[in-house]
Amino acid sequence: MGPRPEGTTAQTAWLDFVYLRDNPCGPHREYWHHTLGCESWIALERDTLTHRTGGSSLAGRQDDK
Amino acid sequence: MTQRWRNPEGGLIDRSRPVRFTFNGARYDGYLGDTLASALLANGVRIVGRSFKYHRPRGIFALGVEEPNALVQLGVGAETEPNTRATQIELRDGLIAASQNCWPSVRFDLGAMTGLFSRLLPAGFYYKTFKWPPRSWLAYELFIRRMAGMGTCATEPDPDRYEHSHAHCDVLVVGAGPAGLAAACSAGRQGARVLLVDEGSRLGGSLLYDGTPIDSAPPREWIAGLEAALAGMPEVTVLRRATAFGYYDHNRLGVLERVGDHRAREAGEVRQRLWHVQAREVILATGAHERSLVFGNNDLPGVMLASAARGYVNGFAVRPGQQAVVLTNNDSAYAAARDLAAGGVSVRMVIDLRPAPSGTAIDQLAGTGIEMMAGAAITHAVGRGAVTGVSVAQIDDLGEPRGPSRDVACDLVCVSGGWSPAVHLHAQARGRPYFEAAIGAFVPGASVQAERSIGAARGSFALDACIAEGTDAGLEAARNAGRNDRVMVSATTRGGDPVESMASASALPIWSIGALPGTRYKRFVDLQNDVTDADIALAVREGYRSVEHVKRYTTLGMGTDQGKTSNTAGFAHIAAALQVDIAAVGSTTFRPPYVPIALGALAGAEGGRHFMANRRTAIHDEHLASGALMLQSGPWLRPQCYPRAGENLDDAARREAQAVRSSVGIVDVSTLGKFEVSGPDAAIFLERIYVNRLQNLKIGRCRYGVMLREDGVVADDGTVTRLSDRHYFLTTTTAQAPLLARRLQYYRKVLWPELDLRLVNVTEQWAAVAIAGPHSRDLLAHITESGESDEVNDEVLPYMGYAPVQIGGVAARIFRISFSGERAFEIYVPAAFGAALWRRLLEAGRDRGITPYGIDALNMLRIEKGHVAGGELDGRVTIDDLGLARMAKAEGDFIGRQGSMRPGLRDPARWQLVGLASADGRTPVPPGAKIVDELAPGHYLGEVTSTAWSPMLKMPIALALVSAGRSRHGQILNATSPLANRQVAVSVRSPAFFDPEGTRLHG
Repeated sequence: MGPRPEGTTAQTAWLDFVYLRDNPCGPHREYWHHTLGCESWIALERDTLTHRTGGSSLAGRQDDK
Repeated sequence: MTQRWRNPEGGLIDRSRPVRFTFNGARYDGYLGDTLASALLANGVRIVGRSFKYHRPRGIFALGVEEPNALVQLGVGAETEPNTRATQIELRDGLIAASQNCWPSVRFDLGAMTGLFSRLLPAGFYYKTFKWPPRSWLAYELFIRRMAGMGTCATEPDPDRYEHSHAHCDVLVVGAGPAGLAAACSAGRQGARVLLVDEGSRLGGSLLYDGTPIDSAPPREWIAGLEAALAGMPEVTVLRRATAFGYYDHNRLGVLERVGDHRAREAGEVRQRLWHVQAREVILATGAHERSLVFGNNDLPGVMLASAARGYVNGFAVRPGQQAVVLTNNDSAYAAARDLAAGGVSVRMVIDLRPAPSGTAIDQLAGTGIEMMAGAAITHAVGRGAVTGVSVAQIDDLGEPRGPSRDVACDLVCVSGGWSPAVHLHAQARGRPYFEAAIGAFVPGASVQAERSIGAARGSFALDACIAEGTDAGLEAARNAGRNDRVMVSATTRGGDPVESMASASALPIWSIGALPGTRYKRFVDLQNDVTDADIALAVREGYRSVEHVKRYTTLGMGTDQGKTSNTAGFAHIAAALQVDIAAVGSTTFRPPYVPIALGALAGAEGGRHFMANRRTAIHDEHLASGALMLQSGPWLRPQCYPRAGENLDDAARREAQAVRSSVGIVDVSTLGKFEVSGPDAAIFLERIYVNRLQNLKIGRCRYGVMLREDGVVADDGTVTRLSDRHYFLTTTTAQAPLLARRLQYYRKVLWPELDLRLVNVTEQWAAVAIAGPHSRDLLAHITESGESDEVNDEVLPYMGYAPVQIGGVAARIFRISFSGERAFEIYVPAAFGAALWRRLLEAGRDRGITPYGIDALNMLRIEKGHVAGGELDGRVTIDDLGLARMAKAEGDFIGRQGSMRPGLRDPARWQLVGLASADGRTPVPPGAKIVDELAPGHYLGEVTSTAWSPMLKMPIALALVSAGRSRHGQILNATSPLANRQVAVSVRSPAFFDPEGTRLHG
């Protein structure tokens, strides 16, 4: 998921942002939410093919960008 | 009844413990240690069920989990369980079982007449026949559903208890046959934490039914030795009656332990325990399943797997027949012939499909006097209700009979079509089994997860190989799990003479024996689903190519046994029809569960009241003390109303709502979502998440706020209060609070991490009570520290104002916010003081007629005011639909702004919020009714979202979303509920039924 288009932009860019997601077969970076715990959002590397997980970091930190 | 088919000695049964049980209403005797199947055979019961499609009589076919025929209805009443395998039910006193899929009885089943019409029921018949005349399928379907069937489900709640347990281990060993036992011992000796699970009540697997000595000792002694060794290892856990049914990602397996199925249970005792096993390394010693062969009438009771016949005579001292014929394409059945003969069964003949079988296995027949026929086969069996004979002929190398046939009388046909390794778990773990032509079976391929298959599960059928592979695998798994700290002690015995315990390497690849000319017997590939070789051939003729498609079209392997004894033969038939190799056809996908699992076991304790967490507010006990009737509302338990003696629910809610309008009421609103936002960028953040302009919100003031989703649809409504310069307090609806907790943090952390603010979910930290009604300010003044009404007058607390106030020494936050439309205040105190606040309000308001009210009255009050709630905010409405478009700020970006610009969300024909009054002023509007216009028939125009009887208007009212609703005020439409078969004329009007000017808010 790309960054949120700021301000008024073309409708298509918005539709892409709201509705379209990459669905890669292989390494993937995704967000997880610790719902029943500290409510943190966590950025996680995961291989969608093998379910092998890689590094993780708190979302929004410098290394998440 | 005497057990006429029981030998006087031998077997694993406990003859000192006789057991009585009931099958199809008749009482029988057996022994502890019997299965239902062995006990039925001991009593000479041959027909145990009727087949799925043709209602043909069926008998016991296998010894264990692979049984396709002997499915019985176990137990009665709420405890009844359908489709249980008689071969796995341990006999216990008082056990009740019955045949399935037969009427009026298993011996005389009217459904068997379907056999006469079987030409109307070919593969995929439900896609082809019974289709004409149009619409009649519905009638046919009812009949077919009744005819084709399995057992019946209990209609009462499951009275049994189930539990879940978690286990972590270095090495999980699945299966406690010779390979698994050796593996568990060898891993355990390395100090590994080992979990050994086996589906049987005893360890030993196939060795339990095998008399072949190991190291010159009977196998049972060898088992006992290893069992004792395992018991002496503190890090080894052994689970009996435990089936590993699912292999999931990250080496997580599901194991079902049948703790209490084999014995009478006390009330509350656990029936089954589901283990979530997390294993570093997994060893699959799951064995192999013997397969059948396809010949005419190969489903008659009395046709049985050779290994099963051997198991019944060796393990249970039961003769499964008087006169046996053995049909095989491999070596393993010779041991069965030998043991049956030793067990008192007259073995008439061993028929081997192979033209010239030889070797140690065949030599076992020497001296037994059993006739042997090589290069021959059974073309068909005969008998009514049970087999009485077979027809035998020489065959060519394709299995087609040549030469004259010969009839042999027998009541038992032992069949061995080779062995299929149980690769299910390996395949579930994403391994890819491949076809190994040398043994004519699919064997494990490369492993993806940390698992390895050993012994028969990988196609190694010789006993010494099983034990050797087990020992090596145990060492390797322990080492991989990081347990190599022990000096390697001499491994367990490597077996004695190389004995061909099961199949030899060379099973003849003939799966099906040709029919004699002029005969038309049914020849079954899949016994459970009544799939014949002709069905498969037909499916291929009709163009099906993929094994997955043929499976679904013919239902091959789709029964509760998932084709354990039939799949490989089915694939072979597909391959033959397509004229390709089996390897090219491949196998169908193996999915969990390996055996049927009770839904109750999957649910565990999380059923009924414990289906999900019940949340109680801090004031819960006070509601009960006030006589509240509690209602489940999402995760929350909330007071529905506080009925007094003699009141029904409607009376109570109306009284409560009227009290709010006339004096004062209190309601617990602690369930609202609550968030604190503070910091230099707090205002910017709020501007971006609400549609409202919030930058001009003054300190000490509240504002009604609406949040959208990014797609422009309303996400939630609530309030925003500016507590101080950089500190805001938000409330959300109860229902959306958990979702917003997630979403707001997402905005904060992921979308705009650069904003400098803190966002904290304080839903749990505050209890809240709303006091509403004309007397609410008096009441509030009474409970504040000073007791002065000035502290809460209109200057300090105007409508939509906020003030921090001390109540009983506690710092409270008071917001003058109204959901009811009356002058009202929401009082927030730290959760620990919620109950005290409630008591204090009740005490102080006693003279003022204070009335606690529940969510029913709350709903009446807000519907009278046209305030929206969950019924309206259904994830499809825009702010304009709700008539709130004017709230949206003209400038600046916010979540959902772009989305709400889309033309579809601006269509004037969209459903808009309106009020409905029943046209006659009396008839209630059906909840959820569709709005239609009789003058303009077609699609419905909208639907009713909330209904109430208005205490103020003294009539039924409703809120609804209606197409172009705001332009329809004054129209008469119909609210129709096909479900309730009711239609009510309604007049469309503004949703603000009561006090539309809002004078009471200020008054």
